[in-house]
Amino acid sequence: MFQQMVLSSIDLKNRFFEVNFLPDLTVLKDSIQRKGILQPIIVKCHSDPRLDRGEESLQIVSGFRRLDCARALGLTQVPALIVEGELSDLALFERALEENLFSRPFNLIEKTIVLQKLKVQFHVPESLLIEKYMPIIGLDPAATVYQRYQELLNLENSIQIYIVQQNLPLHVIESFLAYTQKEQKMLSSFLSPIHFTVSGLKEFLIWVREVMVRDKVELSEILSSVHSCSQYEEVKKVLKLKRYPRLSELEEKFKVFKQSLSLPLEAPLFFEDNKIQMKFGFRNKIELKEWAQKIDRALDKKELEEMLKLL
Amino acid sequence: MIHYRPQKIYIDRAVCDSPITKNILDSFSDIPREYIEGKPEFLNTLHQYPDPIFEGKKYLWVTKNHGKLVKKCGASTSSLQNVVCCNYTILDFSFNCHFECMYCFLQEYTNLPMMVVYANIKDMLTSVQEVLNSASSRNIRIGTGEMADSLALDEVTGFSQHLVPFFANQKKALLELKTKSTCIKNLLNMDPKGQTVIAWTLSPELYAQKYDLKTASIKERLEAARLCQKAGYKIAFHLDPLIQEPTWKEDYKQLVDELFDQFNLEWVSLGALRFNANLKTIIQRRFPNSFLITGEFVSTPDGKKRYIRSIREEMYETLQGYILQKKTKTPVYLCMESDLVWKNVMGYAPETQEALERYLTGRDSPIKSGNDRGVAK
Repeated sequence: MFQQMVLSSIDLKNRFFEVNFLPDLTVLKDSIQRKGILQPIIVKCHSDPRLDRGEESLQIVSGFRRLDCARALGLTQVPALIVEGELSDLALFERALEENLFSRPFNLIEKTIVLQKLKVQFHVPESLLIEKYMPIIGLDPAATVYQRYQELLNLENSIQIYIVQQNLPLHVIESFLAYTQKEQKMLSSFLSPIHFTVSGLKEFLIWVREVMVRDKVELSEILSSVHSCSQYEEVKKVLKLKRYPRLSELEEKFKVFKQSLSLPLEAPLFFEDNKIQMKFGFRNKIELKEWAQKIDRALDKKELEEMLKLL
Repeated sequence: MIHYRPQKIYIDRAVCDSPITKNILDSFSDIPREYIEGKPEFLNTLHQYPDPIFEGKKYLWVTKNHGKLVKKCGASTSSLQNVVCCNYTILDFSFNCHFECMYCFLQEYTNLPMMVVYANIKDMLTSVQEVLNSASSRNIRIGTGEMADSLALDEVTGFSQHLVPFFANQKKALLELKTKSTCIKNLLNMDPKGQTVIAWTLSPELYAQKYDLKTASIKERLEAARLCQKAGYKIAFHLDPLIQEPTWKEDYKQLVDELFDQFNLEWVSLGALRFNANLKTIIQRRFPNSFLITGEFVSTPDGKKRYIRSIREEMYETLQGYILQKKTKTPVYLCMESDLVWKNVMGYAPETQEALERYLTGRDSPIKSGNDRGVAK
């Protein structure tokens, strides 16, 4: 039964069926301002213990984002469909899911919320949850995946927000799970102002954790050493010195010797091999002779001897 | 040491009559069993478990090895570049291990995480005999400890009772049983006639406590080694993986002292911790915050991550120094290392795989040559 409902008759505080996390309402709000709410929200009658005996409020089943926009825009009435009959809460939740999926993709935290609500509010057994509901929200029906999503619940709220804002993939998010909630909070305020690539962020999180475990140092100590860095490349440079001290030292020494020798030398990859490579181009005999002279001069320099010792 | 006990046994009908199958069923008479053809259904349900690697080991599959039973060690045949190989031959009699060593590469075999025993022992021995008949070398080393611990299940399967007598009659080959267990009961009643080497993989005791979750302690392993030596077996040790813990120099000094003061060893191998990127991810997930993967690991040409070469060389040189102080003639070799590392640490790289093999079987001295002919290509 579709009708115009007075906004005040809907219990906006009851978020039993909601799965939104950090929804971007800008586009929806603009649309509602222009054309109003085109798709009716779904509500059900609900006995509210706070009201007098026999009185019922309207509980939102789907349309949380539309209602939040309506409230923000000062609308007093919204189109609503009141569901009646014997539909269970789980059936209504499924309906709400379908409606959401039709209009937008879920972010990772929302998928986690869906799984958690199915488990806790609707008591869906884990096996059914994996086999039936995970594919509906676009997840592989595997216990390992389910466990990963369950673990996301342990993420600190500011990290959950960061994840959604940065649209991070699961393999990066997993790296946050190695940190305590207190550490996650610290990380979120450090990370926010710096632009990380996805792979750069993963590398950062893994390196920091590994240094903490290996050197038995606190996160705060590591973060304070990179506090003044505003670009990821600067952060990486400082962090690499901590994570790979021996490799960094070799690379740094090689760089200094290379500058002194003025030759286009390349160190062996990770110094695994003992061969330095040199690549140069020339267009005529004069240019080739110049290179030959440079090489000849380098042969007498002690820096070349020192460089060879690095191998 | 924690002994293996499955929740259920799947028996391939093809090996119903094998003496190995009979031993297993007699040992686990109270455990549910199911006779099957093909792969166990259980493998299709592994995705339901949060840690399939752990869950899979609760199930034992007794089956037939349909593949090549005797093969060369991966280091000699793969695309590895510049890796010095010791020409090792592998007999696959089992797959997987319940010991839960954190660094174990078997964790990567996620498509078959069950414990598997290949019970077609007759085929295995026939294959070994064929290989030996056609081989020109008289220094062949055949080991069963590549894809499983050689002895962890021996008191259940009784494999050694077939293998040790078989090799006792061979002139060209040594059998190496590589283990972290103390399952030597079957061994003590047989005469190996000098043709079986029991090799223990060792690390400092504290490292074993930290990283080898269900194995015998180092003390127990060494006690088992003493008993085997007394029973006439040749003994070898593998110090592998070498782990760069903060106190590694003192820890390994103590271990080397203990080994060389008490045993006449056939050979000792040294191998620094190595793993591929996939295994690192598995270790991170299964054992969060483990120190193991926090070393200075870099990618090396064969795709594995290893400690940066200068660290590996320092570790090998240090241990080789400890061993040299013992004035022993025990052959020492580096496992899966490049010819460059060999030359820098040992002063030479073996000329050929066969030369290294002869050296390890005590029939030759190390060949101090700089050329690359011993390098696997």
